[in-house]
Amino acid sequence: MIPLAVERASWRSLGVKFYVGLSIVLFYAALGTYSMLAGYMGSFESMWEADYLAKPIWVAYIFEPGLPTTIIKRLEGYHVEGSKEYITINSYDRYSMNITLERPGSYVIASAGFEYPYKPARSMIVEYSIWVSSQYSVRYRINLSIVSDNLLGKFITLEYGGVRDNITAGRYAVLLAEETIASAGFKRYDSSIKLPYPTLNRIQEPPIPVLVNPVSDLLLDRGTKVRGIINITYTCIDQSRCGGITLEIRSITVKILGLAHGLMGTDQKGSDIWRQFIEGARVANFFGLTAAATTVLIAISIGSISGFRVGRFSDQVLTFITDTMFFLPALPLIMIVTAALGRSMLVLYGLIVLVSWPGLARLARSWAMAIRGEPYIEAAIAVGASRLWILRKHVIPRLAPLAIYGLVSLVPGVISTEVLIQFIGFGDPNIPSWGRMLNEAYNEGALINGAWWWLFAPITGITSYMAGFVLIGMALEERLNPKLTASQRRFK
Amino acid sequence: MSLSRYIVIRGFMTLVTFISALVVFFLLTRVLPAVALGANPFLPTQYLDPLFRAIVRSSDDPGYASWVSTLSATYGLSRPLLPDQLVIFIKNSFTLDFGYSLTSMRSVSSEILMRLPYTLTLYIFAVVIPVFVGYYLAVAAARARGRVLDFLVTLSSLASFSVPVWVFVLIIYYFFAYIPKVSWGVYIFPLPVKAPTTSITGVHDIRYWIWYLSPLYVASILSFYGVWAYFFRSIIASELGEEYTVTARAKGLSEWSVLRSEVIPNIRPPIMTKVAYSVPTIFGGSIALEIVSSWPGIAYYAYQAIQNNDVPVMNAFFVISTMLVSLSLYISDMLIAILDPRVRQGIAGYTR
Repeated sequence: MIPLAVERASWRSLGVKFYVGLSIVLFYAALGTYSMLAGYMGSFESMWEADYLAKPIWVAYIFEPGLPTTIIKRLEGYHVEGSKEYITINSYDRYSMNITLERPGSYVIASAGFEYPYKPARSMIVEYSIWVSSQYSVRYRINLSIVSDNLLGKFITLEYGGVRDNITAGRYAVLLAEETIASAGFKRYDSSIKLPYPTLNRIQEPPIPVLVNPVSDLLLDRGTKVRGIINITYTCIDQSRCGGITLEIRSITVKILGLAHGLMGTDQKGSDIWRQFIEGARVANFFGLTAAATTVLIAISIGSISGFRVGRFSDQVLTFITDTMFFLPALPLIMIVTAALGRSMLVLYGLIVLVSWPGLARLARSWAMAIRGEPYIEAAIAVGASRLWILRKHVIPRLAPLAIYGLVSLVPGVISTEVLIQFIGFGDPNIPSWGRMLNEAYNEGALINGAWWWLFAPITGITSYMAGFVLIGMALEERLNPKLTASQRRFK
Repeated sequence: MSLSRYIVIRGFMTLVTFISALVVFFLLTRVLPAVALGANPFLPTQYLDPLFRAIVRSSDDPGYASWVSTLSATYGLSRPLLPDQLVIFIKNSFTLDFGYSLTSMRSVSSEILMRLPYTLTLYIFAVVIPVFVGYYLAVAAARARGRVLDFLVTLSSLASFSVPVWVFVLIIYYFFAYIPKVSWGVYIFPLPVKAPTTSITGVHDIRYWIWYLSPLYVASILSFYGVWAYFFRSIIASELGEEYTVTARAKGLSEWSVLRSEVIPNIRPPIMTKVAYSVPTIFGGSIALEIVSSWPGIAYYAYQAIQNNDVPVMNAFFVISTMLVSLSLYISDMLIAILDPRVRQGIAGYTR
């Protein structure tokens, strides 16, 4: 496919394939840029944005309307229940409260309720920041309960035992903004258990351990009111030195995890697949293009030198090196060398470049050979031009179309190798690529749980991204091979 | 140059490139890590040698003590990396002597040879059958120029080479194994849960073997035929624009006769060349298939060995893979030479 003369390509003549491919590639470039601008970099590990294996929102919308999406609600409107004797309110606003309890005893502080608008969810996370301080040593115990007003429901307690039995004078955080997974990590409920009647035969069971708080126990249903209740009991250790205790509720946030989330649902850890997907697009773009560009650079320079000095010693050496590299089976080499040199993206990059340049170098060599035989090169030699000058002025510009074609046609191979290496687990564990997504989906049971959205997000990404480049490559190949195009015109 | 002389010369060149591929491998996996740790490869510094470290690490068990010395002797670990160990490695590669596996304590070459038939059934099929599928589709498309079939072949071959072969397997597992199992309780294809054993006794084993292999065969056809269909179709289209076809038509031959008796003999050599140079890619694809489907060939064995840092098995895997690739390239070289006299004549300007 050595063109005798590459005609100037008009944009229109490139054909439909080119533009379809280009728009796919530009789409992924835009996604990658978006992921960078939206500050998603490094947030691949964010978990529990919704429940585990939440469906994509559009699927839920079509097949199961009313499926809950994630609700994040900061509790508000705290008030003291029961007797307000011996209580001083130091400060008070919508989301927080600071009160002093002056005498030992039990006190109850409740928040206002909020209405839960969906079908029952599976689990929730409560983040809370409650501070306690006292002038003297006291023994205290705090329970934070999330309660629903459903008649069948029982309340669930988040912080069961007191955090500290003794506090001496000073200021303590009870638990500062700890994340507490309500259900998912500790106790799973099979999705076949029908809410809201799962607990009838579980009431006799021993008390639910601390931090196990399935939402099903709340019997949340559409229109149920949910509120938080803080129960604090304290006694003085030394009756002669007994004083008040200051309770500071800074914030309590309830996050009821949705069963439908985002464009592509969530994975086993409740992390958003769409976010991983666009992160993967960024990695694919960056890795694919840089590796392919490096390969093209190496291949074109080696191929053109070798083709230009065909038959000479330097050509023989370069051809021999090219052949040797062509003989190396790429995948075994990458698998073994990443094991020996460490599983980093840089090693993978180097290896992929190392194994993918020979093919293009052969092509560049034959192009350079054809160019070398042309009369104007002979003319340039005759007037005494140096080899380097000819290479720079005549050969390299003529190889530019090949370089572009090579770049485009190398990207699919680079991406598929990278994705495969990540998929079989020999890639960089810190890089959020599509291959790693696929690895997690395949190994953590997307197939067994029927989570097709998890499995098919990376597959869609890989195949469509590769198809984009393949389309552009096909279009360019037709342009570069005038004979092919001409006959194809006749063909129709 | 006669054909036999050409074959001998090509064989010699294949041997030389094979040896230099081994040298590159040795440099990358043994010398480079040792140098990165600060060793001088020309002196005997075995404590920085990755192979020696792997052996010593897995030899805490006293039962393994004698076996360290055996392996050290096989690989010449007390000598300098360059050039002594390199020479020993190349010599061992030719005699297929890789010592003992660090995990199973059995001879690596016997383990590899036991699994080689499994790899070959997959690999040879993946190389050969898609070529024929693509070839016949391309000819059919060329006969039906500009009609729906032609368009469909182009479109499907695009889909075919945008999807890596192992992704095809995943898709097949999902739609033809998982979904039927969940919906109707039957497997159309098996899920890769229970791989066939490496010993075959009786018809039942063979049937299970074929059944287990069938999704891999389907995937390799689906994934590899596209390149061929597209390439063959465009090369036929290109040839149909040549003057000799015009002559043939002018003589009154039908389109089909032009295609069959004029064009197709002419395109065989470039087809063979293209097939030859796709062999390493296809080999990579069949390796990926083995790993995804837990097919007990050499690649899956090596995959497990790499996770256990079983260096002798890794070496053997690389050597055997390089041998397979070189052998395939050599065979296709010979086929090209038989099909195309220009190649063995070494006509100037004709490059592969």
